[in-house]
Amino acid sequence: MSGKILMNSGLGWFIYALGSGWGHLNRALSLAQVAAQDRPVHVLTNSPYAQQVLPAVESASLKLHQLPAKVSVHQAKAFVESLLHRTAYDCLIVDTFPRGLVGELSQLIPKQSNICHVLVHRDLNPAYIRAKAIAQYTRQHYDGILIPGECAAPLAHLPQAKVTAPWLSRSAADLLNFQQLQSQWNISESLPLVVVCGSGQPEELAFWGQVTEQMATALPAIAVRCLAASCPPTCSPDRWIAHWPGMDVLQLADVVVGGGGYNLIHECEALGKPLVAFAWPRRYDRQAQRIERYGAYLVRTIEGEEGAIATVNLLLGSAGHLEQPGQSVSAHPAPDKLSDKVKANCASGYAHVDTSGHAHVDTSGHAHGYANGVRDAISHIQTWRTNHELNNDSNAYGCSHSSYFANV
Amino acid sequence: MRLQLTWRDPNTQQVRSPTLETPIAFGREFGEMPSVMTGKSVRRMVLASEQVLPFHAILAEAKGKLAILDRQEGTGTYVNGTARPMQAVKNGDCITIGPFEITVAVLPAAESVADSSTDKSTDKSADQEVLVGLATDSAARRGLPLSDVPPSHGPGFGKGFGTDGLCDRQVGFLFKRRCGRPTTEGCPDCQNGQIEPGRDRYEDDYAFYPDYGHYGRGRWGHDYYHNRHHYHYNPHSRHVDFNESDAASFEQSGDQDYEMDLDAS
Repeated sequence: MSGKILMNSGLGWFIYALGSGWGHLNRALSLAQVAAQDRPVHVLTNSPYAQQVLPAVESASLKLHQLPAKVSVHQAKAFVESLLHRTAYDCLIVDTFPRGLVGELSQLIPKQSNICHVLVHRDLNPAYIRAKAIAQYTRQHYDGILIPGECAAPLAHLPQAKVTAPWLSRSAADLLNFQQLQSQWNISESLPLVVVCGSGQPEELAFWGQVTEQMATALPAIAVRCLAASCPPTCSPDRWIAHWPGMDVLQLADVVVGGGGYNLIHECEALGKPLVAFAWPRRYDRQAQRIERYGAYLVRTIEGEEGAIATVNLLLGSAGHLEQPGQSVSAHPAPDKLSDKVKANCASGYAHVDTSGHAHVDTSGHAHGYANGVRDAISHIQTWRTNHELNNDSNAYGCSHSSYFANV
Repeated sequence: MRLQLTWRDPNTQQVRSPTLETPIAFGREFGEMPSVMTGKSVRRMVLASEQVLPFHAILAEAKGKLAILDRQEGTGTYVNGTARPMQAVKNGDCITIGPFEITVAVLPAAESVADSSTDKSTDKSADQEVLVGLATDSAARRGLPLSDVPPSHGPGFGKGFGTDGLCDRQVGFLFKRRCGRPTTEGCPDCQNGQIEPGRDRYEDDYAFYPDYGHYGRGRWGHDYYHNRHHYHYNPHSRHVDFNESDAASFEQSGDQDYEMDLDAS
């Protein structure tokens, strides 16, 4: 890939998506791929998975910058500052961490008077919000805050916040063909399918492999596959699927097993797939809360693989896929109520979303349309960018905002 | 020795006039000042100004006389306009620390409240030793014992206290409970009575937590409430003591966990 990037519409956007893992990268690419249709877009990531998605996403207008592996915090700060200094952009879109992952943006952003700043805000640990005075900083230095889907996130009360539907890596119309994927991955149509999503930290991969193998052994009447970037050491290679974006594969599943991160929760919600989720401890995220809020089936870590298997067994049994077990799943929300629950949680949230567009599952398990907030987000960013430009012009001419707009 | 200190807070223009037993520490950070010196509990006075060090000075009794030790080697604490590393203080003197001008009134011995718990020592040489040690040995300044000692005075000081003599203030960040202390002295919640009854030390912080007080599912406080048995929870009163513990987790070690490495997942 050439280092050159097309400059066909303004200076372009820079999406800061440091944070490791899949979450920040996928959310950034969901936005970047659509935004890059009309302007140059740069994405900064330190995800170990970036190299694998790079061939699929880079284009003349979308450039992926990778923080070198194993750099120190000090080196990372220097790298980010240097990259932001030498790259041309007029809008800086920061995912999750308003001050930067290691605080490296905190001094830089206030000096960028010509740049429009937009925060992408998902749920965050309130202790972090308080410890680093995130609310004050964001309110003061960001032109806009985009909240893709998580309308109860801690900064939702700030005046510049806009809620959109979750950002998804695939819109409904772009999902790959169902039958083609079944054939590609040798998945039987006659057996219910459980997809174990091996995302999260690399050291958690072995755990997902164990879940896959134990589930396949315990529930021989179902097909089990592990969706992961690399084959877990504990998983049979013939059960491993490597595919990006994972939504294509998730649409095949009757039940999904995984973590409680942003992407998987919202992808399953969009596709209407029951998710049996483990709440992994994270410094900045609150997976247990997200799992419960979106009506997924929470498995406590202490319950381990057996807890997940029991929940899957109950779900498939109650859906008629397996012999009905003696226990019921009444303690959990019914799958067909999940979207209702999310709608209730976000009663006034998705101002630009037709709530009837939420995932609906037909008898074959195929999803019919769902909301993807990416285009609404781009529209908001464009508005903030324009306003920022106008405000800068008015300041340059020495007149107040109100008098400037009165003359426009 | 019992003193009444009076000053006008330059930030709020309110007049403060607490009555305190020596030793008394002055500083910007409550947690940076020692809570105990040679077995005596220290009254910690928070002076909110950047001109004041986190632990700025200490006022104590030595050989029956009152003296103040400046922790900036005599450049940051004035008595009647004169700055010295350590100098005597008497009734009616004015101590100046940063923008704070504090008038000292020594109360008659008869009004002093007997201290039956920790202030039994009458060995004045111990006080002298503390002052000399603080003045000459910087390691000793840092090495002051910090273990908590129960408040030495009681019961109550009128306003804000119930008929049982215990403080009525609602304390704790997430879960409010009655303070119940017999004195404001040494109290981190009202900071030695400097925060008026009815005013919450977390008032400003709650502005950043719009759902504060709601612990239902989907609220940010839900997990804390759900896990309340991890804290000091009294199932009979349904009170959760999340006071010092949550303050500590938010303000100290917890803060240091953020923005320290490149892996957030």
